[in-house]
Amino acid sequence: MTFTDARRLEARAGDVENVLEMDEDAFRAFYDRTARALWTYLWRVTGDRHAADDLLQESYYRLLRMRTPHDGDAHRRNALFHIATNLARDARRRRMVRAAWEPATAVDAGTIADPRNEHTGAEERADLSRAMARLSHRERALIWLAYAQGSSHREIATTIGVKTGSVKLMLFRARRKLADWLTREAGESR
Amino acid sequence: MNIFECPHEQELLDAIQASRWPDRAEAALRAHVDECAVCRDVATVAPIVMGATEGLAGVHVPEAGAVWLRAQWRARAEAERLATHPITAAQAAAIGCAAAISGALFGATSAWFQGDLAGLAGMFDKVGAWLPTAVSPDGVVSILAAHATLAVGTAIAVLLAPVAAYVVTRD
Repeated sequence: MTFTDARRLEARAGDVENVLEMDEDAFRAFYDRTARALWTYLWRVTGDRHAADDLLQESYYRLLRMRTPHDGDAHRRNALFHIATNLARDARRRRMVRAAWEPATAVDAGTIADPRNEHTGAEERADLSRAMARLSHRERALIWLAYAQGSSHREIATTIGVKTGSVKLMLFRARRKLADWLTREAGESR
Repeated sequence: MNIFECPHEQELLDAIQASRWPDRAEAALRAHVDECAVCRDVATVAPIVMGATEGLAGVHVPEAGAVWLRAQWRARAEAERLATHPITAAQAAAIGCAAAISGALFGATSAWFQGDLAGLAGMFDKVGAWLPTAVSPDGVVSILAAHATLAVGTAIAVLLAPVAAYVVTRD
């Protein structure tokens, strides 16, 4: 490597700060406002806390590397959840392919446990975890965004990548399914 | 009204959000929920999902500083990889050219190599005797003998091209 090459490398590496979407202070503030909600969302959608840990960091990294500026916090937050949703979907596909080749390591959707239940023992949360595990990836995302995050239909549409008009029907179906499973879980635990 | 939405849904959600549901909710709303399938599902699902977010503060996530540093480190590594990529490509092309020129010079100047080439041409001649007369082996032999340098250079370049392409595109 020549001296010119080294200087060029140094200049490129120095540009990293400009490549990231925001400065450190702004990132810290945004992260503190969104990280817990994002982790919980990822964990609810994937059903795997280790996957949620990994995808959380990857989501923030991809957001930081986005070239398009965001209009405000809400816009940036939607973009973050959209990235996270896509990453979770890709991770699920990879896991399905792996599970097809290694049946012994396949994730049993019925065994997804709430990490916080270890401490609280909340039966309701356990019921929700089991019932959520029976929903599809997209249905879990819909339910969580609508009721845990309080997102509007438009925000949900942006996050999961569907038309706003489709959200109502999709949410209705997901809610119907979950309500059915929750009722059954409640009936069985009595 | 669609069967999958209800105008009272938001009112019900507000009551759940404000912890008024079901005991402190208005009687009219409670009566509606008893009769409306959509709102009944909302009343079953929403309180449990909203309740599941209560322990959010206890969720452990990495420190913002650690995530920021890792992002910076990755961005830097990617920028370096991008910066070195053209250098790798130029180096691979230069090595390919140098090897091709060296091979061509060797082919043009080495008596041993040219002797072997003549042997090869003789072999072609023998093989050609077996071929139909439509394809003239003498033509091939004479072309090879007359343009030995070019032939050797081309052969080396053809051999080196896939290697150079692999080196350039392996990232």
